[in-house]
Amino acid sequence: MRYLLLLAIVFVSLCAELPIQIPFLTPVQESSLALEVTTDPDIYLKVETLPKEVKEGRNISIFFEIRNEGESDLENINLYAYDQCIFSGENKTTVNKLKQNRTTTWSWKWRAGNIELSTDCNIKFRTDYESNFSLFQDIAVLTESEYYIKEQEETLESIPISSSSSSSPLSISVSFLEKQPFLDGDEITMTIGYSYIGDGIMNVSDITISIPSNLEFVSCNDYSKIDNSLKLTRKLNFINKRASSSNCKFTTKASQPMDIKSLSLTTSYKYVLDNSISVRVKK
Amino acid sequence: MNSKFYALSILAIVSISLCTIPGIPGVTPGIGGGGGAGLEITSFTAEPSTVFSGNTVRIIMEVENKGGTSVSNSEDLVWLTGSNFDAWSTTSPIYEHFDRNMTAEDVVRGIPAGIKRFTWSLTAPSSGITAGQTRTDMFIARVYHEYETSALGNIWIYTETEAEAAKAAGRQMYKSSFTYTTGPVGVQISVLPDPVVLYGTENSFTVTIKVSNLATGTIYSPNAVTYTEGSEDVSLTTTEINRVDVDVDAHADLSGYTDCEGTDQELVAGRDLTLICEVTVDTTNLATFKSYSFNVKVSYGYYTEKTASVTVQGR
Repeated sequence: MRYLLLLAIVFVSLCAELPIQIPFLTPVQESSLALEVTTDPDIYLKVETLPKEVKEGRNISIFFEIRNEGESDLENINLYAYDQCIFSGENKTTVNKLKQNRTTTWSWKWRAGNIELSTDCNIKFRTDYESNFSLFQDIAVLTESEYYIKEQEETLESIPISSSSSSSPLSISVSFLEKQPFLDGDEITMTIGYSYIGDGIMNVSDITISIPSNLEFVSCNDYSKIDNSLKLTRKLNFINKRASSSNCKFTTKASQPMDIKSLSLTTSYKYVLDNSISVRVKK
Repeated sequence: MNSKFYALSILAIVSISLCTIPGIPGVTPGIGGGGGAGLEITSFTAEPSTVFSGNTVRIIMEVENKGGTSVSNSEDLVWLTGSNFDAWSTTSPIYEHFDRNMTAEDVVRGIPAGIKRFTWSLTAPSSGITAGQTRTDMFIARVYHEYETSALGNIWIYTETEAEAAKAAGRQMYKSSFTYTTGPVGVQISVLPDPVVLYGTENSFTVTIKVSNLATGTIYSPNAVTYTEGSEDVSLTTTEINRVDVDVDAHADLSGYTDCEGTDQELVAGRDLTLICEVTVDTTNLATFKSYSFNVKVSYGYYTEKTASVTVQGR
């Protein structure tokens, strides 16, 4: 009976999950050191050094793996070590394009310089890439009579108004002060909000909004109107990962009783991620 | 005990049989016309309901005349629109015309109800939606048409002498009777007194016309929508919504029923409109008793709507 109890305890302990998890720093092998970056929805980045300790004057290999986990292609991906510590060797690589769900890998071989004392060498490297995405927001404009009928039928809420969001680190929100559906001839205010997630630096290079035919442009701070589009004219300065929002005014215009069109927004951005990995260099 | 049981059973059977008097679909004798249906969209589907951007969706709609009045193909129109409709590789919106008159079902003459099927093939937007994104687009189909609900009937009018004679002889006097067509609008006519007896120098009686909005769709002023091919216009104003025209066509000896007529009478959904008029009889030709025709026609435009959704996946 006692043996059975002991056996049960052993089985239970085998099933238990190990509670210790070190974020971003995952030992892959005993002899190597790996860094995994998973905070960016666009990419998975893994940097691994082999061996994790190196004697002065000897070589280490640094392996890089970048996987596009976002919904858009990534372009002009640069990876370079801007502080190689006492190592020397190739320190910059560029990949022109990385499609969705694709992975690219490469490696550098570095030589450790001579040192006086054994030291932990902190290698700093930067990853940047460009990407873009588009969003849409349906705009429903009803004529007075159509609005009246749906108001009477209490079916105003049943008009499906689609919109999309992006899973990139950059988040752009489009919202209206007034409730949809809009009434023909209303003046409406659209607010565009900007924020991002992750530990990197966000640079938004372009935002273009195409105005649907059921909206007539009135005014928009931060944007200039070119034909039927609005283009961002100011640099977005992010403080605490947020930039001040923009407000645009339109008047609604229904060319048919129920006029549901789509406003689309496309943006291009550059995201910069800084990381470091520590390698022990022995005398 | 057994005899009571049999008696109750027979009573129950008789009661049930009284409830199932067969009638002629489309024409309802004796009671106010209604049913709430005209040209109705019996089916509206988009297949498949989920597509990748750039793929084709087939939209199928079936329309049936479920009312009691035939609809001329010059006065009916199908309007197809939807959310983001411009992006669906099509001109926006689509207007379709019926290629034949949509007959009302006539069981007596063996004429079936007019049924028409429309199909459209539309291509899902290939731009504006990126891989991983989905959007739900809604298609809206409407059938606009001119419709009317009619009441056809007779009003019996007696002179005082004839009424007294009938009573003395124990004869039953004839009462007014109306037959009604069915439609989104119902009509009911009542005559007071019924039968009409003109005592002394009397020469008038009261007619009450009750018009009911039984529609599941929307009623609008007749001819407010333009059905002409190439210049279709389904825009309505708020003053054209829930409006009907009521016309009376009565025997030449009847007059004074203008209060029972009118254009653009407001008829709110689910409500009734009651028109009361004092009808005057020219008694020159009334020697004893006589039946006078009294017909009411309620004209209106009517549309019904159905929606179908399609989810588009970017790729």
